[in-house]
Amino acid sequence: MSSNIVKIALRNITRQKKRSILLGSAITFGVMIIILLNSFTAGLTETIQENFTSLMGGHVYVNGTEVTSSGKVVHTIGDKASLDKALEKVQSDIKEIHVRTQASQGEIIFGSKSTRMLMYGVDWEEEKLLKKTLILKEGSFDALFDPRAVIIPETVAEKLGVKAGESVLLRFDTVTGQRNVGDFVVGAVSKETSGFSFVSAGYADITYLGTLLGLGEGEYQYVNLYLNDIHRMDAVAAELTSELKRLALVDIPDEKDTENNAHQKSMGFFMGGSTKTEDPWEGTKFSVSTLNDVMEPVLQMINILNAVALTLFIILLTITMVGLLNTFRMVLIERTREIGTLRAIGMHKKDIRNIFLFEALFLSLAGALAGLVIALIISTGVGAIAFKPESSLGFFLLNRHLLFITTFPGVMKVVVILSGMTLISVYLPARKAAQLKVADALRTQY
Amino acid sequence: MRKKALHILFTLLLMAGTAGLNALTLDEAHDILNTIDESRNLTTTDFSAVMTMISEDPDKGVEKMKVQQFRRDDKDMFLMLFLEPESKKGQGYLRVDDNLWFYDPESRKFNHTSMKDSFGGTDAKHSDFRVLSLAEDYKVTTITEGKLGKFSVYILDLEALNDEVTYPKEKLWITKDTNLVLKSEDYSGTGRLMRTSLYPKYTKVSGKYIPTVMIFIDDLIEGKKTQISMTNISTKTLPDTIFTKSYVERVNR
Repeated sequence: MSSNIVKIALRNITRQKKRSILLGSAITFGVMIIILLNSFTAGLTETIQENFTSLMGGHVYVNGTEVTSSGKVVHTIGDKASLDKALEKVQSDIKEIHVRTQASQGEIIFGSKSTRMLMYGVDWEEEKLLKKTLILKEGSFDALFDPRAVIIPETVAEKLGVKAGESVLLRFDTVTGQRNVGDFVVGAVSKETSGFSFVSAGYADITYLGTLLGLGEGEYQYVNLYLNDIHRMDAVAAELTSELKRLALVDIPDEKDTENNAHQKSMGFFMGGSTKTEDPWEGTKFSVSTLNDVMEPVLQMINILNAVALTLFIILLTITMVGLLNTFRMVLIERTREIGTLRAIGMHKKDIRNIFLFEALFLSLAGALAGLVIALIISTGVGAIAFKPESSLGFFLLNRHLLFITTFPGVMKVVVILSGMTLISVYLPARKAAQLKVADALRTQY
Repeated sequence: MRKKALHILFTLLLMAGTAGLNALTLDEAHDILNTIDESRNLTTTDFSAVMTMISEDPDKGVEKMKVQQFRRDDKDMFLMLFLEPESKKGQGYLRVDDNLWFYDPESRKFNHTSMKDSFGGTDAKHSDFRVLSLAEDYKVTTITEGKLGKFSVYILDLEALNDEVTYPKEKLWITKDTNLVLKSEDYSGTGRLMRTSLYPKYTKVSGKYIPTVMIFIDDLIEGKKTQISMTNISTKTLPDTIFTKSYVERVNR
């Protein structure tokens, strides 16, 4: 009997093609929008996480500040012994350790052209993951035997009109804030690894850049940790902070000012520079932060976007469900005599109700499937477009493309909500149809 | 032969003596730096002027800007307010209490910035508009004499004494008779010439010498330079409220 009910429900959908298509289209539209938005925000989270990891060179970041004799706070890690000891505690979580220097406020110059660029000093022997991440457009890693060799992103190379093998200048501030300039040779041009065109990053030899920055031999400014499991970053940071606290000075953010601190920390990596302090300290003051700290403001924005998407979906769904409810009330009136006949030949009340419910459910599922297919086509199409990294979309791009991630649980969540709301809205007309008295139904003249 | 040797010796002694009479000692050269600081800083009066800045950038083209400048040198304060172009109108740099703030009327926010940064994207630095402290910041390492155009000048090589300065090394061309800086070259720590500044015109205001035309040439980027001319110069006392954040906000309402 149940297979007959399904057959009748399916036949009923095709009986009123125009109406079914109209209703299904409304559902399709709603589902398409929510799947697109969900895929976009999921892709955005992934994109930003990838971009930040690539840009900052890890998941957990340790930086140090010291006070010079003139009271200036400079970014440098002098107390390597304490840091090495603290890192032993979290050794099992670490995939790679990268030490870096950084030329803040950098400006790369070629002839009469110049552009802002963040220059990291990296140890090419140690940064295996970076080498894997960087896709070279021209030049090769072999050029890096020359300490003056740099790898610059293609956007910078295009803007300057510079090619691998040509000489460039880099103007920047030393750790104590004086203007300095260094001679470099473009060893290679990489494809854009970071979607953040506003912070194009280049890579130079750590020792050469360190000397220009005014750091001593073997000195560095930041230690970045790539973890085996990205989800452990907060735990690793907490463990590292507690160990460092035991061994040295640690800069703990003021709880009241956590948001600002996270922001300042994240921007500190880009801005660098030096400030003065009226409260000097001895030795290195460490600070530990994670990718989550850096991404906090971005994640907040994504959560807002998700909430907006859900609200939009519910509004669209409510409008569609009201339409569905009215349609099925009309269907009830249209089919009263038919219901009477079905009941007269022995169909149970619950079967009549189920025909209505199945009909609505199938309509919703068909609409959802169409919505999913259209969303996948749109997202694949848009995802295939290569945008210019310097465009206003730069922040949302991963390797010049918008990333959409459609997950099975995400789609199932939409389908379950849609099915539930469909059944709820059709339940009343379905029950009313089931409650019709056979004689009354057969007598009805419409 | 002996006569010839005596003649050479006599000539050398004469040259050394003459040189000793005219040459500047390092201390004397440092005193000149003090004199320059004193002659440029308006410690007893306030100062205001309108600066017309023409910035030439091979990448961005030519940009003309007008900036209202207010200075109170005895407290090392200044306020620079953009009057032109329209896109920058209302933006301002306020130097108070050892802080330099940049105000953006669009976001209505003040952001901390550095004295070593360039002023409004030009080749001038914020530090070019503050109180001059050459004697405190630099020591003279070498002294030579020469000519710059028709002017007889001392050419002093300077090295920074602290890390407060923008450039660790400088070279100054100073007129012998008036102790005015006509030209300066700014060098990086690695000894590369980064910027050349020219001061072809001065005006005397309240007994102090104020450069009314300044040309800053970026020696790293070919064809990049900025010319600044000062007009509407005044040394009238300015209200204290000018050097406040609320004033900057108020002029933008």
